[in-house]
Amino acid sequence: MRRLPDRGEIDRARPLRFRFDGRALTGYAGDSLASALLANGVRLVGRSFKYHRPRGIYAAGLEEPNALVSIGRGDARRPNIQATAVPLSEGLEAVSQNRWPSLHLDLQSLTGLAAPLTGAGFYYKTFMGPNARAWMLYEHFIRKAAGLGPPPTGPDPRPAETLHAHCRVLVVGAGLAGIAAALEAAREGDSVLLVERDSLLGGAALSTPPGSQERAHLETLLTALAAQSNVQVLTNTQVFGTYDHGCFAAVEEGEVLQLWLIRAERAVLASGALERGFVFPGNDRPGVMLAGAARTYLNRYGVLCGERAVVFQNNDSGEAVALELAQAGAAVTLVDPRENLDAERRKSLESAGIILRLGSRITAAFGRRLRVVEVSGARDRARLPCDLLCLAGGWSPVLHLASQAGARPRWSDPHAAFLPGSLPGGMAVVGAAAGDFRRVADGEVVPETGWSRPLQPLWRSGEGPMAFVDLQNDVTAKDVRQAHDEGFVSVEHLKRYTTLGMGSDQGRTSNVLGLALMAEASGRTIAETGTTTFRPPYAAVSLGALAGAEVGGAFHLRRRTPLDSLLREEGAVMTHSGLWERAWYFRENGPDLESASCREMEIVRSDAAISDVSTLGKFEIEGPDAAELLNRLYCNGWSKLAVGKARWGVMLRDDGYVFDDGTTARLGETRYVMTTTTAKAEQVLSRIEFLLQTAWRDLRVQVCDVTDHWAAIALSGPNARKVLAKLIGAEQARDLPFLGLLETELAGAPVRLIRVSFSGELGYEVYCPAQDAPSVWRALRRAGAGAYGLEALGALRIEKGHVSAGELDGRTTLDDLGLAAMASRKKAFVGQVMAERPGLQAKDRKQLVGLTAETPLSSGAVLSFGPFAGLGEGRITAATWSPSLGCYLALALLRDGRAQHGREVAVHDPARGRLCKALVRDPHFLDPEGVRQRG
Amino acid sequence: MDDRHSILDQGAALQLQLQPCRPLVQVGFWRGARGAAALRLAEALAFEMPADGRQVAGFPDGWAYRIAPDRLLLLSDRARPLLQECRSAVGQDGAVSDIGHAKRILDLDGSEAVSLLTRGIAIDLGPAGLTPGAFAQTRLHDASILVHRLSPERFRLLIPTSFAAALVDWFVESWAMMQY
Repeated sequence: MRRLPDRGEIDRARPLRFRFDGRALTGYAGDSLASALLANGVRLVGRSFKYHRPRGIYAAGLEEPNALVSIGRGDARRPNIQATAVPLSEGLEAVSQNRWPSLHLDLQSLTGLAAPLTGAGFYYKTFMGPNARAWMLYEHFIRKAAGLGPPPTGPDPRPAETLHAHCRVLVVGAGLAGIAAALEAAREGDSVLLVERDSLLGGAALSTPPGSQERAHLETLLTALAAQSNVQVLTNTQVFGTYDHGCFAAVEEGEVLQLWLIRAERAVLASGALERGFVFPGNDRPGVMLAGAARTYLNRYGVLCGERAVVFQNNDSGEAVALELAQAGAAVTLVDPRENLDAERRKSLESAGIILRLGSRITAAFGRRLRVVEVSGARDRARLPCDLLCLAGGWSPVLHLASQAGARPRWSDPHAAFLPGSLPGGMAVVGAAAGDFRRVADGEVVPETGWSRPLQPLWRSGEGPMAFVDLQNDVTAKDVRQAHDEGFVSVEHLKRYTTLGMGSDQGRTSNVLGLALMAEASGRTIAETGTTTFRPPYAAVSLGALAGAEVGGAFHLRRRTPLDSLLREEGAVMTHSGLWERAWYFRENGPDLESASCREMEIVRSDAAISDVSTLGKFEIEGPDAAELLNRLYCNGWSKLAVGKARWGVMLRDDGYVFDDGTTARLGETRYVMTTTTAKAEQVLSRIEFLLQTAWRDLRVQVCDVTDHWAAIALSGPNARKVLAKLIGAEQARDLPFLGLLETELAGAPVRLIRVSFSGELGYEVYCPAQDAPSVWRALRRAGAGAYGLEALGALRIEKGHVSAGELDGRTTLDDLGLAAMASRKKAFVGQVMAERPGLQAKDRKQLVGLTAETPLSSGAVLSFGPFAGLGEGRITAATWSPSLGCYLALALLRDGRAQHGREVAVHDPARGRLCKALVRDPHFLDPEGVRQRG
Repeated sequence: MDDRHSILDQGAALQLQLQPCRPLVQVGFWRGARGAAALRLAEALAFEMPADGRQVAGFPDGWAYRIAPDRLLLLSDRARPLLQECRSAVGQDGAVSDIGHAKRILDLDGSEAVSLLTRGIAIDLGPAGLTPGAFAQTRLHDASILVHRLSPERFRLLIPTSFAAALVDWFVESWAMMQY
C-alpha cells in the first residue's frame, strides 16, 4: 500500500496530523480517516464483533462493516464510527475497539476457537438458566467479550441546533444523476435543495480517474449548477429519514450538530447504489475490499491499496478497477465466472498487463493479512499470491428513503438487486438508485442495467467455515443455513435470530447475500423470500443531534410572571412549577425552605401576607351566551350569579371525571372572568375553544386568554382587610363581601379585587394589568403585608383541605372529592351523563380523607389497613408539616375513605424507606366551618 | 425590558428589539353578524378587512391580523383608546378584549433574520411561503407566537409576555450558535 504522488483530490499542501491507537500519523486535507490509515500502511483497523477476527477496511463509505473506531476524547468521544465516513481533521484521535489488550494482540480472539459451538442463536439456547435473573449475570460478561465501543457517560458537549428548510424539490444525493435532476428542476423555476452526504459533489464520478468522461460531465454539471440561484446545496449532510407530509430529516455532524427538518413538495432520490461482495471462506481478511472502494481510494485519495491485486467480478464494474489498478502500477489478475469477453475488451485488459482468469471464481482467501487466494475454474484450481482482493459482486440500489415512504422494493433478476417499487406521489428515484448502473463512458449496454454483459448471479463462491455473509455481526453462511434449519425462514426472523443486517452498517453489503442464501436454502426465489422493513434512521445519528439545543436548562422555555424580577430582588428562591418559574420561599422569612415556609404560614395565619399567583389561568368570557357557556362547562349553576359576585366552580371531563376547578367572577351583564388552576390553564382553554367551534357553534360568546395580561396577587391573613384598607380606603375594604368583586384603583393601577380564599384565611385576589404588578406588590408590602411562596401556599391549602393538582389527577369524581352536592340537577353540563356510570358510583371508590401523623408523610405513599399488597387501600396526594396543628398532615385518597374516619392506617413509602401509622380524619383540618375566611 | 430593548450589538447582521407594550385587542364577531360588524370596524379604523388568514391589513399606525374566521387581533403602534374604538364599532355584534399586556413585540431586522428564524419555527420563509405583508401563527419552542413579515428582512413577532425573557434568551443563544 502506498500513496501515489500524482492522484487524488487531497490537498498535499495541507498535511494533517492525527493519531490511531496512540500512533502519530499524517494525512492530508481531503482525506477520510480510512484513506489516511491506508496511506500510512495501516491494514488492521478493528476486531470483529463476535470472534474478534482481525479486520481491515472493506469499503469507502457508509457501507463499511469493519472499520469501526472511537473518535475524540472524554464526553466528546463517539464510539462505533465508520473510519470511512470520517473526514480527516487536524489532531483527530481515533482508537480501535473491541480488543484486549491491544488491536494486534487480542486475547479475546481465542473465542474464535469455540466458533463451532457459538453459531446463530447460541445466546438464547445457552444462557437460559437456572433462573430468569441469571441472564443479568451472563449479560455482563457477554457484553464485555462481544460488543462495540463503550459510549461516553456524560452529555454530548457539542453544540447542537435544529433547522427548518422548505423547498419545492428536494434532491437527495449529488452524484451525476442527482445534480442533473437538481438542474432540471431549477431550470423549471423550482426552489431546489440538493443534499449530499459527502463534502464534495460528484458521487461515484469522484472515484473515476482524472480526465475521465464522468469527471468531464461532472464539471459541466457543476458549472451549470453554480449559475442557478434557486438551488441550495447542503454538503456533509445525511438525509436519514422520510416522514409523513413530505418531511425529511437530515443531519450534519460537524462542529455544530445540525438536525435539518426539510419539507418538500417533491423529492428526487439519487442516493446511488452500494457494491456487495461474495461469500467464501476467509472473505473477511484484511486486504479483502470492495472493488469500488479500491477505485475510490486510488482515484480520489491517491492510495494504491495493494501491489498484487486480484479483482473478482460477476459484472462489468470490476474491469475499470482492474485497468486503473494496473495503470497505477499494480500487478492485476481479473477473475470472472463468465466465460465470454469480446475481443476488444480482452485486448484492452491484456495490453494493460492484466491476467485474465475467465470462467473462474475465488473460493477461499488465506493469511492473517491477505497473502493468497484460491481460484477455482471448471477444470483447475490455483493459489495466487496477492495483498489485495477486490470484490465486485453486484450493486444494491439504496432504497431506504423510498421504502420508508412506503415504496415496497421489488426484485429484478437482470440487476440481481431490489429496485424501488411503486413510489408515493411526489417522489422519484433516479440514477443507480433506480437500477441504472450505466457509466457515462459505456457504449452498447444491456438495457435494464447499463452493463455491456449480463451480470451472472453469484452469492457464495466457496464452501467452508468462516465464510462471512455479514462482516459486522460475524454472521456466516453456516449461520443462515442453521437459522433456516431451525425454522427461522422469514427474513424478519432471520435478521433477529442471526443479527444479520443489524449494527451501524445496517447490512448494506450483506442483506442481499443473506436473502439469497436463505432463498437457496428454502428453495424459493429471492423475490419470494422478500426483504426486511426499512425504518429510519438510514445512518447512525447522534442523540445529541436529535435533542438539538433543547437540553438541560433549555429543555423548556420558562415562563416568568410580571413580578419575577421584583421577587428575585426581594430574595425569593425560585422553583419550577410546570413551565413557570415561581417564588418558592423568601429568604427574609428563613434561611432554608423548611424554616422559611413555616414562618410564612405563621404570618398568613396570624397577620397578612401576599403571594404571586399570576400563573393562574385567566380567561375573559364575553357575550350574550356567556352564562350559558359557564352552565354547560361547570357542574354547578351560573345563571343566578349577580354582577359583582364570584363563584367557585368545578368542571368535569367528557368521561365524568373531575377536570379542573376555579373561581369565575361576573364583571357585567355579559362579561365574566374565569380562573383555572395553573396546571390546567391551556387544556381548559383548548377544550372550550374546541367545544365552541364544534358542538356549540350556536353560542354567541368569545373566550379570550388574558392569563398574561393580568397579574394576580393573593392577599391572605386575618389582617388582610387592614392592609387593603390602607390602599383602597376602609369603606371599600369593609364592604367587599365574601365572594364579592370590586373594580377599583390601587397604587394608581386599575385592579379587580375578588374576596376569595385558598388558604382558609380572610383572603383577596388582586388582579392588575401585568405592567402594573410591581407597583401594586410594593404598595401591598408597604401597607404591611409579608410575603409567602409556593411551598407555604401549598401547605396552607392542605391545612384547609382544598383540592388541587394532586387530587385533580384525572382519576377522581366529584363524590370522591366530597363535592357531589355541587352537581346541579337542573341543567346539563359536560360529563354529567358519564359521571352516572356504575363504575364512578361504586361504594368502594377511593375518597378524599385527611391524615395526621407524628412522623413525616409524603406524596405517593401507599395506605393499607392490613398487610401491604399491590396498590394498597389508597395513596397520599399531598403532605406537609402543620405549624398550626403541630403535626404532619396529608390529603389522601382512601378506599371508602369517609367510612374510615377515626381509624389508624399504615403508611408505606417504599421510595423513601418509611413505614408509619396515621390517623384517618376529615380533610378539613383547620376551620372546617369557614369562619376565618368569612371573617 | 420595559423600554425598547436592543438585544444584540449595533452593527450586527441582525437587530433584535423588544418593544414596550402596545394597545392590542382581540375582537370576536358573532356568527351571522360578522359582515356588518367587521365592516363598521374596518371603516372606523380605516382598513380593508383581510380576505384570508395570511395577509395583514394595515391601518394608520396599526395592523389587523385575522387570526380566525370570526376573530381579529388589532395592534396599534401608538397609544390610543383602541379598546373603546373597537367596542363602539362592534357594538352588540361581538366581543372585544384588551390583551395589551399579554403580548410583547419582538422585532427582527437584518440579513440574518430568516436564517435565525429557521432555527426555531417550521414555517416556509422562502418566496413561496411567508411573503412580506403576510403573517402566520405558529410555535417557537414552547411558546405560541404570531410572525408578521414586514419586509424580506424585517419580522415582527407577537410573543406571550410570560415567555418574553426566555424567548429573548433563545434568540441570543441561537444567534451565538450561528456565529460558531
